[in-house]
Amino acid sequence: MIGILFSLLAASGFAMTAVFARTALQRMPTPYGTLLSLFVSTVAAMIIAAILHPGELLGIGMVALGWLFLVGLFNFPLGRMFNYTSVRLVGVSKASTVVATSPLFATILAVIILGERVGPVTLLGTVAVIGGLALTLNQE
Amino acid sequence: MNLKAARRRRALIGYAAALVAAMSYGAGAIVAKKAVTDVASPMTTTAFSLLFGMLVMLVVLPRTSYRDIRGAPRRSYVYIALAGLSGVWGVAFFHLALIDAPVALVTTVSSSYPLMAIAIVHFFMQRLERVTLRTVLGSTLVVAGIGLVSIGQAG
Repeated sequence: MIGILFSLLAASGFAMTAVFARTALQRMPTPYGTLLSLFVSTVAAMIIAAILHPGELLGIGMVALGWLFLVGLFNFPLGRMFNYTSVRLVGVSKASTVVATSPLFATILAVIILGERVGPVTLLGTVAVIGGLALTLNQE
Repeated sequence: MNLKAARRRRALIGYAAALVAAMSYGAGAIVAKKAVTDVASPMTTTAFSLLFGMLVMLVVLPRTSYRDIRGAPRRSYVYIALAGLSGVWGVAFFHLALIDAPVALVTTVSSSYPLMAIAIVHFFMQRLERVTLRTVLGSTLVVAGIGLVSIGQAG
């Protein structure tokens, strides 16, 4: 039950990010808005990580940093900036719907790169996602 | 170019950007899975990946264009800071949820955020954008589909 509550709180955070970004980016260039939001996020995340795992934060190795660089590259200069660009151009409701399909892309990449198998439930979900995207994108 | 064509072009670029963002987050999730399994705790992964993301942005953005941001009103700074904090709030609770619940459930429930965003926009931001029935239906289908994909992959 607590897991579901935390998941809902996570969803509220993701939703509010898009809503606040939409309001801010009316008068601010997207790349700089992304940079400023990353600065605030970094400071907040570093404080939380320092409280939870102080030893790990200071003793992290070079190979680990390489992996974390890759995570950061995909999620922030690429993911967050294009997300904010989309929010500014088509609005929160449509942009969030399209960006929310990211687990489907993760599944596709996992099948291609890691050789994971896909069952009938995943295929049914994929059809539903494509249907939802078609409904959303077909309005312009 | 007439107004309708310009609006259509703007929408196409916006949707293309959203798809690129979804693909990037998807690729990021694959690498993050490896990172949180073998490299560091989820919160440390988040903190360092944010730091590296910010550094890459600092290097890539042309310094001569930094003056563009000076004209932005103070309100925009407050909202973009809140956007940054909300993002960390979301990621932190996502990781906390994973401690108590299966990945499929957490992914499914947290993927419902477009529906929350639509509700917020509908009730509080009508002046900025209009929510259509098609968007609500499309979003509901996407959220349901992602739920099925997550359950399918977990099973």
